[in-house]
Parts: sequence; structure tokens; C-alpha cells
Amino acid sequence: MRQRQASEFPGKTCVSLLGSINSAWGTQTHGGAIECGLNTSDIGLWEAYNPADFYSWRRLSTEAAALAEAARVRGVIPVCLPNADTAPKRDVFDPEEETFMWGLAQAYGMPLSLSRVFLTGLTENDHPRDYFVFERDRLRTYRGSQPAATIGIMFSHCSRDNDPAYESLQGRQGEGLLHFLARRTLYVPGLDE
Amino acid sequence: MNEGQPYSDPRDEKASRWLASLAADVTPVQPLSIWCSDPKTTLLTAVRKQKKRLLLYAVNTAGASLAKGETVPTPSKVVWAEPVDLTLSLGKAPKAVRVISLDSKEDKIIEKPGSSITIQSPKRFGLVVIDL
Repeated sequence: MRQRQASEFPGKTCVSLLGSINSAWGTQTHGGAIECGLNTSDIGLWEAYNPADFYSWRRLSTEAAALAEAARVRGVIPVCLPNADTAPKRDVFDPEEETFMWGLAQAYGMPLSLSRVFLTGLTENDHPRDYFVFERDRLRTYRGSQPAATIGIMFSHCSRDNDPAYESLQGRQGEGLLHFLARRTLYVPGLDE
Repeated sequence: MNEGQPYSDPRDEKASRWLASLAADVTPVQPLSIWCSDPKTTLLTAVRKQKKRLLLYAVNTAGASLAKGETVPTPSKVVWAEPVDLTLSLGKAPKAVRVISLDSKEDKIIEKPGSSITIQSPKRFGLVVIDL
């Protein structure tokens, strides 16, 4: 299916948002099945919506293992996209949730997209978590390799305009960088207009 | 399970045990076996094989301990487990073993390991690199 899609839209990279395998959310609300998403994309964002499910990491790790393998056999790049907070309390969270999701994603060979950092905004109070230091300073040294991101995904506060609870001021820095990158690399309708 | 909602455990323990035993039965012999000193350990481990290395990823989460109906805390909290002894057994002695932990005090190099190595599970996250 992806090959036929690619022939219709040559040169386009397709990104799918993959919800939870264990949740009926996707099929009940928009009809999108995980398998269809994997079959029609180059990059699959595994939106582990609520890592507050820490009462059982087995559920999350089972899902990660299944998705990682399903992505591998299809040649899709999986990316872990955790959203651990609830909308009314978006800025109240345990930072160790991100550490947990980072570790879990590492275990299954997935890069981590720090969705929450972008949703809550890059504020002066946001400090890089210790796993950044770990990857940069020690893991790289030992393994003789360089950290390399296959893809980069940025969210701007424009993507949250429909959410009145979102504090747009916190997204200014991220949005500024996105505009900078977008103008230098590609034309993005809505951003450049 | 959402934060602020009553906790319920949807798992079927009988079915889970059956599936676990089924998975164990069909799993081929692995190049590395892991034995935990505490059978109640909830350490998540994943092993990946490179050409001349085994990479053992370990996430030491204990999960939350909530009673049925208890409100899931907001914000939810990660509970890291107490480190336990892990014994790694291989078919033959590897050339070297290194433990690289998110908490650097736990870093460790074993220069001349035997075919059975005992290390501590990481406080939070660790990568054990086994040079074959």
C-alpha cells in the first residue's frame, strides 16, 4: 500500500500517528487502525498517551515490542511520543515519567520525541534531563558513536491553537526555531503566509 | 489508567500466566540468561545482539502499587525499584563486560569476566555491554 501511495505522491514523506494498540480509541473515534498507519507511512509516531500507566510497565513494553517489530518488518521508523499529563494539569508532572519512557524506548530501539517539552513549552525552568547528559557524555564515549537523529519533529504552539488551556507564551522559543528552520528548508503553508 | 481516576486492574492473572508460559515454551534458547536474586523483581530487560556484542537494556521500574478503587495520583509518579543482584549467564566467558548507568556511580567495568557474572540492577536505567 505504501508503494502505491508513494507512486501517487512521489517525494513525500508520510508520518502516521499511531495510538495505543491496547486502546480502542483510534478505531472508535476516527477509524484509523494501527496497522493501516504502519502500512501507509515512512515514520510512525507511537503516541503512548498516558504513561501514567506505570502500574504495569508490561502493558507499555508489550506494546513497544509489538510496534518496534511491526515497524521493522515494514521499514517504518518508529518514534516514541509520550504524553503523560492531563490537559488541565499540563505543567504538573513527574519528570521521571520521561526518564521512564526514554529508558523503555531505548530498550526497544526507538528514539524518543519529547512531546511534552514542546507542549508545555521550552521555558527557562526547563533543564535537560539527565539522560541527555548520559547519551552525550558517556554512552557516546564508550560506543564510539555519535548521537544521530533520523528525523526531527517540532511542534509549534500553532498546533495547539484549538486548546484554550494552552499557554502560548511558553511555546514562543520553539515556534521561533520552527519558523527559522521552515524558512530555510521548505515552504510551509500557514507558516510562511 | 488516567490520573485522578479510580484504579482498576483489568489483567486476568490466570490468562497472563498461561500466555507467559506459552511464550517461554516457544522461545528459542537465548545466548544470555538472566537470574534475579529477588523473584518479585519487576525489572524490565531487553537484549539485542550486535555482531560481537550483546546489549542488555534494563529499566528498573517497580510500577505503582495501588489498591482497587484507589485514586491514581496526580501527577502520577514513577516508582523506581530497589536494585537487586542480577546474575548473567552465557555459554562461554565474554571478553569484557561494562555497565553504563544513567546514575554514573553505578558504572562498572569487568575486565576478565567468567561465563557467569553478577552485577546490581541499575537504580533507574542501565545498559550492559557484553563484548563476546
